[in-house]
This record gives sequence, C-alpha cells and structure tokens, in this order.
Amino acid sequence: MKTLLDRIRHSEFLTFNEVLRLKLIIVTVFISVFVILSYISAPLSTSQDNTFLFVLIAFSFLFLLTILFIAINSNRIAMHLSIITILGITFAFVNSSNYFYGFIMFFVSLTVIIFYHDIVTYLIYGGLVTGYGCYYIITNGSYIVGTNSLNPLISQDTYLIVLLGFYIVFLIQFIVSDSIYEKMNNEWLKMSKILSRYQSFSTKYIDELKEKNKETAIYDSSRFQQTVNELSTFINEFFEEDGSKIAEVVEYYFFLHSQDIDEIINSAEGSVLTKRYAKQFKKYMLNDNSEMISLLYDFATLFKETPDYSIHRYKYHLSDLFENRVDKLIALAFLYKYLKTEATQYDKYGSVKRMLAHDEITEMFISKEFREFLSFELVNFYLDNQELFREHL
Amino acid sequence: MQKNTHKYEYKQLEAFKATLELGHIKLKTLLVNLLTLVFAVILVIVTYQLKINPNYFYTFIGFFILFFVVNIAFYSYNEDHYNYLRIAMYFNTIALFSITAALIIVFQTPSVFTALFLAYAIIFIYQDYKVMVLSNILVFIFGALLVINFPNILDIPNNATPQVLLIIVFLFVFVVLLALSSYILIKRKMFFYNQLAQIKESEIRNIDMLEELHGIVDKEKMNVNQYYDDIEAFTEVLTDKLEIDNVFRRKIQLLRELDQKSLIEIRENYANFTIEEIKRLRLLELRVNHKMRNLAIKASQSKTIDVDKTEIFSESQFKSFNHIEDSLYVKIISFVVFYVLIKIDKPYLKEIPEETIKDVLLNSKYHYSINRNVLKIYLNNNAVFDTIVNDILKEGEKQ
Repeated sequence: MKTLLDRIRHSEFLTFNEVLRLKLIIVTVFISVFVILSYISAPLSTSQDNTFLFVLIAFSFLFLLTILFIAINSNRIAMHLSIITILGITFAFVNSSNYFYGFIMFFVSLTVIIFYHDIVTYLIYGGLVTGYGCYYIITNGSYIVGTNSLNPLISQDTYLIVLLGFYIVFLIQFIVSDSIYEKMNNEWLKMSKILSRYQSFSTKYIDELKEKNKETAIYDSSRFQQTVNELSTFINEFFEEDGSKIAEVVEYYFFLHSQDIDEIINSAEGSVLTKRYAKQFKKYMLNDNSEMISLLYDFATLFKETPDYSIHRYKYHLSDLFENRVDKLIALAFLYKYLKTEATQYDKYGSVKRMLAHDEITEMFISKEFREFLSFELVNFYLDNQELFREHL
Repeated sequence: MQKNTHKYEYKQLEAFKATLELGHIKLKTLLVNLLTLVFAVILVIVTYQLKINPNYFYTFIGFFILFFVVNIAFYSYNEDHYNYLRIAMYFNTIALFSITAALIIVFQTPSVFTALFLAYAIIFIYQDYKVMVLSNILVFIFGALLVINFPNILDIPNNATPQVLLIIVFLFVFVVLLALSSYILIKRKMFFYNQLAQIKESEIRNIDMLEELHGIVDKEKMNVNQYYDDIEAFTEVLTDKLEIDNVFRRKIQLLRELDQKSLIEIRENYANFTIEEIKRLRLLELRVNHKMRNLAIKASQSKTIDVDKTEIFSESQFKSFNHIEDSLYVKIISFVVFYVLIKIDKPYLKEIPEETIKDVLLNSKYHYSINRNVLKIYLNNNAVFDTIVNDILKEGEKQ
C-alpha cells in the first residue's frame, strides 16, 4: 500500500506505461471493492440470484484475466479488459430491479474510462456507454422519474441532458488538456534539441582552447583515471568485497575513449558483456557531446549570475518584444547583421566559424520556422528592401 | 539529512511557471463560463416550462447573473491577472455546486440530483490541486447530506427507493477515482510546467556560457559600435528610399548612450521618450543587454532543428546517472567521473568548494539523477571523497 501511495505521489516521474499500470491496479482494487459493497448492500443479490451468479463468474474471469495481463506487463490489453469488466457490471445493474442504480452505473463506467485519460478509449467506450445510457433513458426513463417530479417528460430529458453533458464536458476537457500537453511536449523537445546544439558549440570551443594551450584531454590524464578508480572502488566496497571487478570496468571505460565506440557496440565479435558496457558508457563519454557533458554544463548554469525574471525574458518574437515599428526595424537590421557577420554555423572542418550568406539568411527569414521570430509584415519589408540589407549591413 | 530540492532551482522558475499557467487558466475560465452559460440557458428554459414558483425562477436567474458578473470582473483585471483568475476559479467551484445543491433542494427529484456530476465535470476542466480538493469535498458532502436529509429526493414510484448507503458508496468511488485521476494529471501538468520553465532558463544560461567560451577562444568580441554605425547608415539609405524623415537616428543615438548614462540622465536628454519607451529600448541595446544577441543565436539554429511529432517527452529524455537499464558499476563510475570533473577548474566553471558540492547534490534536481545508494555513500563520506581527490589529483598537479 505504501509503495502504491508513493508511486501515486511521484507519478510525474513515471513513464506512460508505468502510469497506466498504476491506474490499472487502482481500478482493479476499486472494481473489487465496489462489487463487494454493492453485493452487501445488495440490489443484485436480493432480486435475481441467477443474474448475480452470472455476473460473479464473468467478473471473476475478467478480473483474473486483467490481473494476468498486468502481471505480464500487457497494460493496454489489461486496460481494455478492466473497462469491459465495468461495462459488464453496468449491464448487469441496468437489468436489475432498480433502474436508478442502472442509471448511476453509467456514471461509474464513465468515471473508470475517464480515469485512464485516453481520448480514443474515451471516445469509443465512453461513446458506447453514453449511447446505451441514452437508449436506456428513452426506453426505461419513465421508471426512474421521481415521486416529486412535476413533469415526467422533463425529468427524463434532465437525465438525458446530464448524461450527455457529462460525456461532452469530459470530452472537451480531454481535448483541451491533450492539446495543451502536446504543445508543451513539442516545445520542450525542440528546446532540448536546441540546447544540445549550444552545448556542442561550447564543447567545440573548449576543444579549440585545449588545442591552443596544448593541453591533453582530461580522460587521458593518468591522475584523473587513478582518482576515478579509487573513488569507484571505495563506493563499490559498500556493495561487494571484491574491488577488482569495478577497477577493470573503470579501465575499460577509459579504454573506450581511444576506440570507435559505435564500432564496438555494433561489432559481431567481442563478448556480450563488453558490448553491453560500451553501450551503457556511450552516454558518459568525455570525448563526445554526451549526456555527461550536458549534465556538467547544466550543473555549471546553476552558478551563473542572472537578472530576475521579466516578462520579455523568454520571448523571441519581435512583435512580442516591441510595439513600435521603428524598434522592430532596428531589431530586424540587427538580426540580419548578426547572422551575416558572426560565426553561428559549423564550417567544413567542424569548427563554429561559418557565417550565413545573404541568400541563406533570406531563405531562413521566409522559412516557417522563422515565424517564431518575425511576422509576415517584417519578412515582406525585408524582401522589398533586401538589396539595402545586403549592401549596408 | 533534510533535503530541499528547490534550494538550487533557477530563481526565475516560479514567476515563469505562473505566466505559463496564466494562459491556460484564461482558456479554462472561458470554457467553464461557456459551459455554465449553456447549463444556465437549459435550466432557465426548463424551469420556465415547469412554471415553478416565480421567486425560485428569478432567484436562479439572479444567481447566474451574479456568477457571470463576478467572472467578467475578475477576467477584466489587467494587473495581477493570475491571482484574480485563481480567485475566480475558487468562486466558480463554490458557486456552481451551491446553485446545483439549491436546484436539488427545490426540485427534490433523482434526475436533478445527478446534476451534481455535471457540475463536477465542468469544474474538472480547471485541473488545479486546490480546486480538485474543494470540488471533491463539495460533491461528496453535498451529495451525502442531501440524500441523508432529504431521503425522498430519490423516491421513485413503484420502485424500491435506492439505498442511501449505496448512493454514498457510489459518490465515494466517483470522488476517489476522479480525484486520483485529477491528481495524477495535475502532477504531470506541474511537472511539464517545471520542465518547460527550466529549459527556457537553461537556454539563456547556456547561450551566456557559450558566448563566454567563445570570448575566451576568439578574443575578437562583437564590435558594438560598428553595429550601431552600420545600422545607422542602413537606416539613412532606407529613409531616403522611402522618402521619409529619419525616425531611426535619434533612437540609435539613445541606444549608444543607454549603457553609459543613468535613466535620469537619459530622460533629461531625451525628454520626448517616456520611461516605458526607454525601458523597452533597453532590449535593443547591445553592449550590456544580451536580448538581441540571444535572439540572433537562437534564430541562427532554428532551421536546423527538427521535431518529430511522434516523439514523446518521457523519462528517456532525462539525463541522469541512474538509468534503469544501466548496471550498478556504470552508475557508480558515471557519478564518480561527474564528481571529479566538478572538482576540477574548468573554463566555464571554477572549482566549487566541497561543502557546496555536497549541498547542491543534496538540495537540487541532481538528488534524483544519482543512484540513491551511491548518493547516500557520498553524502555520508564526502570528506573521504574530497581527500582522495586532493591527494591524488590535486597533489599530482602541484608536483
């Protein structure tokens, strides 16, 4: 139980599959509790025992299947089975003696489907439940009109409106939240890639600096290797007595720096173990723009002095930054000049020393990616006056 | 050891997260109002057809008018919009459930009772922790109190009256399942906001670092005066071509002076510029303010970055020393290499004292990036780590 609660509390760190698994466990527990409680307080058992027996057998079968699929990590199938289980229970309730319970069960089913938060699943199963619920109200609505009802027809319509409204409102909620997440997801991925580009430029500059100062690479320093070895052995002593194994792995890690690591990983020869280590170490290599280097840069950013947040800090579209047309044109001129005169691209030797040519800048300005920076109005202005830009900037 | 993983967060994070959320709250407030309007129109038509007591009829209309007036008022504030919309969120939650409860008490029918779920669905749109707690409490308390105090609400002719206990059990299942669903969703949403805010700030800091390194490697720094001169010359020919007065010259002159003079002096020399305009112009200034430089660097890479729409932000995107698929040896060695590297003086990061390293690893996101057991060994023995590095690496350097 504690593990389950911990996983819910830290669910943001779980993968989609793990979150689905977590939800499946919760739904399975809830369906079980719900069936047991509803049997105790009993709309089913008091009326027709045969129906209840059928439901019990069917439920047990589906329940076991769901658990089996959860156990073998086939979570999508388990999700469908758990939804089918709740639909089965709903169907049994709908056909029980109390129609109101049947109506309430449509909401229980929808709640379980909503819980999975999957728009396609909601559209299909939720649509089926709602459709059947509407049919149920149209055919049996007169049986669930309250004693205090002023107008039976309006009471039936109210049931319909509430059920349909519930389904539609949640559908809207799904669409809104999915579109928000998709937008954030794409933005994050884009930012992550651009960040990796900046970091690869930084690595290039450091390499150039080392070359200029005739320094050896840190991974070639025997003292650095010895320090890593000593510390790794020290930590490993808390896990196992034999320190020789990790020392060998440390040695292999540094050896990999003098090899083509991809060749080792993809080679048909070599032991499985060495290939496995090579694959795992690839992201921590010091002679590449690796995860290790990226983590180091990220760490360094924690210690940079920066101004406080202001509303323009993360804005890059000239129209968001400036209201005045004159300011926008000065900014456009600056942007053009920067791209034309500062090194922002890799040259043919892999150094960051190439500037963009006028035609490349023009191509860039009219590209759809550049809508993130310039409005159509500014691009048109540029195109009308590009000769002036070329000659004077 | 007590940890506070926010201690080393970028200081800009919280403010930007609020800005990110503001856009979404605006959209959600509009949606909630729109859906409530539909709800209100249907209700007015139905109550009119039922010819209920006019006092009730006009009271409901009054409630809805009040609801929309309050929402319009909160939505119209320009300053502190975020907090006003949050207040509107709580108001809407309480108001919508209160109106629904009033409806149930007036009509006392099972069909109207189910309107509680509709109110819950509308409020679910907000996806906010406090609203989630409030709406779950309200739907459960209102639902339970109503069936207990007005048992005839659920009376159906020729049918067994539904048992209060079963309705409460249903309410409980409904509330708990949807609360958990909401909780998981909100956690992921907040995580997204955090990651996005973090990466935006990280971008700026990485550009700064990149330019710092560029400056060390290539001593020829951007010639700011040349930029101003060229842009001024360009605007001269541009205004000649367009046959207009040179409206750029004075602004470029002001930009040249912005980094040398105080705001008061600038204001004295450029009386026709408002403080707001001068502040805005600072974004264009090139020597001290790096806004335009950052924009140009970002723009220079825009065409070469492709995002595959099928890619998903997931744990595989996270950089760490604790990947599930890695062996313990790899987790140990990768952490040790990282630790030794941060102990060394680098062009982009000077040596950090051992106590600071320990504090950062304990109180930052790095806490989650390192294998828990490995980190625990380091935290308990950091003096040993420090000694080993000093004895082998640093003493060796001195020799």
